[in-house]
Amino acid sequence: MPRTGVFVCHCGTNIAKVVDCPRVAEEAGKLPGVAFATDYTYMCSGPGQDLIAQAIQEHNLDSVVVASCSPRLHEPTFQRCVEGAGLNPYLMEMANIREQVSWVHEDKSEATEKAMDLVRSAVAKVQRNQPLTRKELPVTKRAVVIGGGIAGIQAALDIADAGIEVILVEKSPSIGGRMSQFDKTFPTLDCAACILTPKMVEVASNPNIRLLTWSEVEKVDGFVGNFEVTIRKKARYVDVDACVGCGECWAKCPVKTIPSEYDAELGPRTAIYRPFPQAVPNVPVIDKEHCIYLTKGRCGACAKACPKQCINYEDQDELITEQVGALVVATGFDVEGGKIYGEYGYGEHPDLITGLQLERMINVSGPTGGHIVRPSTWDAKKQEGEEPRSIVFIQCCGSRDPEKGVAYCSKVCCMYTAKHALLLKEKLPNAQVYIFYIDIRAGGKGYEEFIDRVRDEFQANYVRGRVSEIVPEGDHLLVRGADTLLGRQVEIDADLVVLATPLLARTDVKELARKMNIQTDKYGFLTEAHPKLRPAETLTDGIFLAGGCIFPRDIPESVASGGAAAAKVVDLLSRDHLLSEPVVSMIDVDLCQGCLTCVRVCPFNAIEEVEIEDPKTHEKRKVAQVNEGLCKGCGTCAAACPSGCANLAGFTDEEVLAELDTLCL
Amino acid sequence: MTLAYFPGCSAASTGKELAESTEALMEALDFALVEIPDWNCCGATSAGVLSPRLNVELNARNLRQAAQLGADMMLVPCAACYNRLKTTQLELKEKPALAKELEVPAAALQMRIVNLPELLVEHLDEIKARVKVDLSHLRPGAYYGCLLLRPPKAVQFDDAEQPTSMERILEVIGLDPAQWNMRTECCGASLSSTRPRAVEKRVSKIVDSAREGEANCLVAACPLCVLNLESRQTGADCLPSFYLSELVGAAIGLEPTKLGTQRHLLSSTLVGEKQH
Repeated sequence: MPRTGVFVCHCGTNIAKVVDCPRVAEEAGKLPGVAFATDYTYMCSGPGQDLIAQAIQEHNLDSVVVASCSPRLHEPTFQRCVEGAGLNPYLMEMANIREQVSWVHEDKSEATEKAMDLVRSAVAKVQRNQPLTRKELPVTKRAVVIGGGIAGIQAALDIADAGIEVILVEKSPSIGGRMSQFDKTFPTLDCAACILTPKMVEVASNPNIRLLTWSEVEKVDGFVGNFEVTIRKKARYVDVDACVGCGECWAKCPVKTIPSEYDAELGPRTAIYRPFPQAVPNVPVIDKEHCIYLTKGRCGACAKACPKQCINYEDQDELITEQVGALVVATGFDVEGGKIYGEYGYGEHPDLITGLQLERMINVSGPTGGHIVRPSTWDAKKQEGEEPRSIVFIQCCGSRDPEKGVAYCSKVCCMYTAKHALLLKEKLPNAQVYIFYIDIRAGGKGYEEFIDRVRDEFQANYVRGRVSEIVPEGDHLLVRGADTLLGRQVEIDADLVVLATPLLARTDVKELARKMNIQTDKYGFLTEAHPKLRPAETLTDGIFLAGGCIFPRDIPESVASGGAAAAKVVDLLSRDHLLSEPVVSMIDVDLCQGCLTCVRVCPFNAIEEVEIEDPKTHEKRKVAQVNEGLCKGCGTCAAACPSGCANLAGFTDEEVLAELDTLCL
Repeated sequence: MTLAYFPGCSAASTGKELAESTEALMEALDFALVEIPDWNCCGATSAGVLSPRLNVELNARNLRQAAQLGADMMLVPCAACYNRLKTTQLELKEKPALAKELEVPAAALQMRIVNLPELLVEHLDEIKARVKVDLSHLRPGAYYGCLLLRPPKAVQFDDAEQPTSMERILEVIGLDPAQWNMRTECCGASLSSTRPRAVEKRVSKIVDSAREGEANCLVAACPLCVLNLESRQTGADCLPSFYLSELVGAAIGLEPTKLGTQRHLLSSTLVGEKQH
């Protein structure tokens, strides 16, 4: 006769206000094989767990049912609790009477009935459960960080400082990411380059970091502790080791008018280019779409100019594979290009720019050398243009607009617009600055004070309301909008209009996320394992997230999340071995017919075909075999197997059918 | 090609020249127009204000009637009718239960509803091949108004803020359309009888903007727009307004009288004499 204990949780009033918990416990006590049943206000708390542990000892319990919340929340908690009391953790089952009962029902007597049903079926299952043991898995003590923006840089440095080898993979020619495009940072106004570039140099010089720029992660196989990462090193056409970044090549390149990605297309670059002077590595790449030699087979100006013979037009993409124990995904975000509101006419008028373009214009190494000008008047040869006298900033150009743009707040625009206003007023004290806003969102250390300073000390005119349209009038732009505080329509003659466009999830990450089994939200941002309690983890063990790939983030948040992901990686890789999850598929080879239906349905490629030999007859036959390291215990194979030889440990047919019989018979 | 044809109420009254020119042009371009049997008023902007349901029912009936013809495409020259029919069609597509209740067959929901610029812009080559008359003394400002383009989700025609269809058609008939600002602004039609002063102000802004873009006439594809542009312009020096169908018709050599051009409120000449 089994000796099961049942523990019914009130969850404060979460469960108890709808379910009669003492009665559920009382009824459970009468079930066959139940040796002890009780209820308690908070079963997950210290006293609650003590209660369970004590009961196991006192009543000599051999299995436990906790009727409380979803196993997704507290299964590990209660598993640890019973394990501490000497019971196998898989001899504990949960009956979810919160999410499945009290939160979705109102009628107390019916809800109590349902709670009792769920407890009954959990008792039936747990009494058939077999003890399961975790196996030890080896750990490869190396990590890959994908994305070399500030979050990825921070993660890579922190992991490397803990003595673990890191491969930092960056898609573009240089690390530095978005932050490298910024002039100053809010609210402290320290120069972005001054705080970022030393970190970039640190990455390049740290012996534990291997930097792969102009490279992309192509494939991730394996499982926690034992990943195999395939990386495509894109053809750079320049020898990274020999090049010293002297600049002779790009000075001679005849293709000079490609819109520079780094300058947000406000300035030009050459076909062989280094994105910015502080690039790490300080080595150019050839843009094969625009290079005359690579497209038409003649030119070769860069190869002739190079004093060290670094140019190799025959360079090819190279695929390399690396064994690592953990990955950090820090792929960042995209910035929308101003096209959401057609009525603003972005692209129709050069004096209508995005915040990122203004950022580049303010920067001394930017396309105008730090001169604030109206792009329509800019003369690149003379390096001069007309200074704007009236500048209009428009916030939320697509953010907080579920109809045309995105429903969420992009979080950084209020602050960077205030920063832009301040920097403009410093450079052009006589200019008028107007900022159209919906709300000012300045939640952060020193943020609100910064806004106050921009408004009071720097006299930026904050206008609460939306802009309805922007029309060219003569050689300037007429901004029409509403001032909702005055209840009036306003028209402002502007020389320069700056749009705060939304920060978006990168579209090119979606495929990678799918391959790595990382969930994405409806916008395409990567989803954390738990938004509050596991913000650096994904649901795939060993893969962690950092920075703006999760949601729009500013620099301090990105750095913090890079550090958090690194801490998780270091914690994982500092172990000598990992414990595997024993809830995996088991295939009985004696019964297996080798039809391989399970191989085809397995979403994790965890089952493979093997040949076995009968020890007596020496006959060979093909059967399916589970790789327990890859198996996630989803049970798809167990459901699909026609001969019933695939079973999921902890969810065998016997156990699940007992559960169902109790509910349905 | 056979098109189900929804003339709309204005075809018999203030927009007679729109109907005449559309029909003449379609014939010349080898489209067969079959008028939808016993069509009814689309309700324009007024019915929906009183009762959204009334608007849906009026156009559900029109869609039902049109489906009887078995055509794949419906031509609606009036922008208001076009807008109401498209909006209703989308609503019925999104609410199958309502479509069932109003007995609108699937064919009516799949039928493509087009306005005139939408149709013509897909047949630029055919138009180009037929151009005979030089109208280059005209520099029209293409005026789209509001109903042809909005709401974009329902009408799905061109770009709601930076449309190019009419300009592309005008270029094909040898004209150099004006670049100007207020191409997609509302003409104020709903207020035309209740608050004519407000509409006068709007129209004069539109006309001024077109003049700034060096237009010497306006071209539109909506009978309400043309009526307002003509009747609510103030001052002595008025800018003439044409329908797109008139200009294309004249360019391919149709007689101005066949296009109804003599019916305009403002004296307007299509051929010969220079416009001011």
